[in-house]
Amino acid sequence: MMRWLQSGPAVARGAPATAAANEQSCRGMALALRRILKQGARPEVLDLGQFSRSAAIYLASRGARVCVEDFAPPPPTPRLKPGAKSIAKPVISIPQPDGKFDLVLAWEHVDFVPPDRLGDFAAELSRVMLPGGWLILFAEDRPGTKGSRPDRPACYRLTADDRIVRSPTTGPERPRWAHPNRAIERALSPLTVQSIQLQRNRIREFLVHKREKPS
Amino acid sequence: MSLWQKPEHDRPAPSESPSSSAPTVPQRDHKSSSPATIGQSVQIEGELTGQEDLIIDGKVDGKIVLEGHHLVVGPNGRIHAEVHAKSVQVSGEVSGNIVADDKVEISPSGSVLGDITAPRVALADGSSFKGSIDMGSKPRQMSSSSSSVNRDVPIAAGAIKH
Repeated sequence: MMRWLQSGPAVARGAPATAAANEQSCRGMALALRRILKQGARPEVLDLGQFSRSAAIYLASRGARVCVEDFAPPPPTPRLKPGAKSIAKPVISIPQPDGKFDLVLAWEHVDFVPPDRLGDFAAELSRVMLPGGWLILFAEDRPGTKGSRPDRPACYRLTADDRIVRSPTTGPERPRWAHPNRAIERALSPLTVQSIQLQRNRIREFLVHKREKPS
Repeated sequence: MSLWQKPEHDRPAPSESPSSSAPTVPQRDHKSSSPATIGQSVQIEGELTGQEDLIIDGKVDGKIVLEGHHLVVGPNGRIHAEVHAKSVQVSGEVSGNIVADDKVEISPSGSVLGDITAPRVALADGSSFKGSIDMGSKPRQMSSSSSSVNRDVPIAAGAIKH
């Protein structure tokens, strides 16, 4: 059955009954929205979620100008062949100008970025963020596990500023890593991780801030 | 009688007034319920303006202005244009910015590459969209050229190719 992702009150209140059980709080998102929406100006939001268009519509209905981009995480860097002097790494690129966005929603992309590319991914996110801007990341929490496993990114839907519904998607599977907190924080530097919230479905929500430039 | 001359009875009877000899052009009733349609084989390059609802199943390259009216881009429609209408429903492909006074809907088969400015936006599961969504501001006016169009003409296009 076709499901329309409607703007306005339908998104804020109209969660299907089955989704109510999957609804959970997202305090980091609520805090970021409170900060950017209170400024009075119309905040710029970048939504990198291929499956999270309804979140984009929700945020647009809250007064933000939402830019939607499909982002494909890079494959792992190939090993250096014997005799070769260099390796061509796939470029991680978000086709948006520097310092444009008050809020960047990267959803679960970080889990699909290989460990050796986390720094490049974080640098690209930081590049498009406005000084003083915010970043939201979601990452699976699987302590003690090593390596990747095939999985699909989830679909996220905002039902309120502090309520979110995560649901599975279909499509091709990709390798998924469970990066430890320390690895993500290190990759995001010099961005500041303000909070990490562990949700009841073992998903961590990272709220990240980019410092204002000293005047 | 010449071979090339028609017999008298084949000739049309002389008309009583010059006006009655002109071919009659069916006038579209703007109030009629069926909207105008641009068929699959029609390709338009230029500016397209109108004062009635419009369905596009062909190709349009340029600019579309239907102020106060509904635009439907059918499954075969291929639009490469700036669009301004009261409401826009996309089941085909649109490449260009869409400004709607009321709402924009993208169907499961629809694809939009461009920015959407409308108070209400609906994206169906399976639809393709890349660009930005702006629902907070009043739809901005199109450039001044749209105000100079002849509003009595339902559709004014630069060039029509079949």
